[in-house]
Amino acid sequence: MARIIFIQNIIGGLETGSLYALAALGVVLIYRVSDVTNFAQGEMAMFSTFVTFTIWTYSRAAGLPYPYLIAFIGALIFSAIFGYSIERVFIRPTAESSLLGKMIVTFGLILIVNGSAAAIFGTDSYYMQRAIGGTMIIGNLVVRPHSFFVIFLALVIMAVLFYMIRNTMFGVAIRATAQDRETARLMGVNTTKVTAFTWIMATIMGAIAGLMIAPATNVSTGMMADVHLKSFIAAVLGGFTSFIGPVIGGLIIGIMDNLVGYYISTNWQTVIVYGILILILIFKPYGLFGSRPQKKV
Amino acid sequence: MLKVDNISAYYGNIQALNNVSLKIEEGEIVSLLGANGAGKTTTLKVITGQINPRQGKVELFQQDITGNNPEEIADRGLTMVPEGRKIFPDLSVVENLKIGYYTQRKEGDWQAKLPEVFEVFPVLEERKQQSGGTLSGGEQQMLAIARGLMAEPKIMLLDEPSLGLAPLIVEKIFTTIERINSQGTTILLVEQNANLALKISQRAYILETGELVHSGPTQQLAQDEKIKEAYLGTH
Repeated sequence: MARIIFIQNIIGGLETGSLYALAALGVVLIYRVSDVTNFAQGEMAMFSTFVTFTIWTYSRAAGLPYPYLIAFIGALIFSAIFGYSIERVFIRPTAESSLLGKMIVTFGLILIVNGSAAAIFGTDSYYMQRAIGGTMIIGNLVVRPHSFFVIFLALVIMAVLFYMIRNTMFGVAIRATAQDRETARLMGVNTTKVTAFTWIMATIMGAIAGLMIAPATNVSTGMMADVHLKSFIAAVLGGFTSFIGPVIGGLIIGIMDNLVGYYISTNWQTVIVYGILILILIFKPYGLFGSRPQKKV
Repeated sequence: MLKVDNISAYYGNIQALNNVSLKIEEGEIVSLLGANGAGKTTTLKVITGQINPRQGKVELFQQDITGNNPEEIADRGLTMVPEGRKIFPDLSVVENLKIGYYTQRKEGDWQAKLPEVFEVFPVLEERKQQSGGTLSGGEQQMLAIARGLMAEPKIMLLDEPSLGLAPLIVEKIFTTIERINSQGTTILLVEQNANLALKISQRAYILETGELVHSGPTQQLAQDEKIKEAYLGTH
């Protein structure tokens, strides 16, 4: 029995952890390529989730087949357009401004996106279904298929992204832009396009994280607060200078949260988990997989 | 092939170039010489589109490219080997070469081009999987030139390729530049090491505090007493 509970905690941890990982990867992708720390990632994900939820509700009401699938595809399309628009309208004009200025713009975005969501969708919270409903029994293990779906989906997205970044010409262009934008341009890389692409990717990953967490949090304007905060911590823990770091960081936080909550104390869960993380950062100040950031000229 | 016409450029309010004009014909090696701060790098940056001139015009293959983006200019077949090499430190040697092929990515396969540059710089093949940042200065300079070659440039700009390198390696690099030129790439070479640059180029321009002060065939410049004294050292 003890082993079963342990395994269930691990699966639950991997589920939320892979969502932190997705969101964190989006933040790091943008940060690496354009030096912008997107503090509005969570709010943007919330907004995308509301749009997805609306598509889902209308598709159901209209009696369309597979409303969830329609909403999922809608989420991908909307978040791609949304990410591009935010980059084009709010971020691109700040290209020449200071790092602090860029950061403040994303703080402003939090307010704009959150305010718009409240005005458009209201401040109530709504039920959202799981990708796959019900529970499943494997041996003595009781699990939700949704958990496996989430873990699988996150793995697929990350695998595709990592493959692209590692192996394709565009992926090398992304990494070159992240390391030295000016020289990348001398090589013929359209760095404006690369930046727009990272915003699109990050917003899609955020939207998926939002949609997947929604059954647990309900859809509301505050739904991403926890995921967003933890994804940032995951990014710092794993290291902002690496792409794999935030993924590992997200999984560690997801699993630790669950294990400490179950075996030690739910009341002290947050304190213990983040206490440990601070300890790790004292010894690895650039994160587990990070290196001292090279000064960009 | 490349024509720089009456360029004036500024950093803020500080004038870096004043009415500079250059002309490079196909197949030439032309040197741009001058002391530190004379405006050599600025001239190159105007050509590559990294700096917009306040005045004047840059023409590449009879087309006005003034104010174009660096990536557009790279696409036209002009490749820059920047000062300080600017190797992507976290990309491997092979990936640095791969990104060099970026402008050609629709034309063919980057890997098919590798043997050609490895033939010019065999040491890079040995270091293939090493990350760019771990190479020695000389190897980085070779990689920077090799990365430039990957783009199959019609004209290559080199900014201070000898900077900070041991004489033996400098000699090797200059021999390679001559070889690249003999295979059909036009070269504009910026150097502080005027002696060396004059040896391999047909013509040269000399900049002094943002203005062109001399220009002509290298033999003629090398015999000019004043130039000898000012730039070549009195041996």
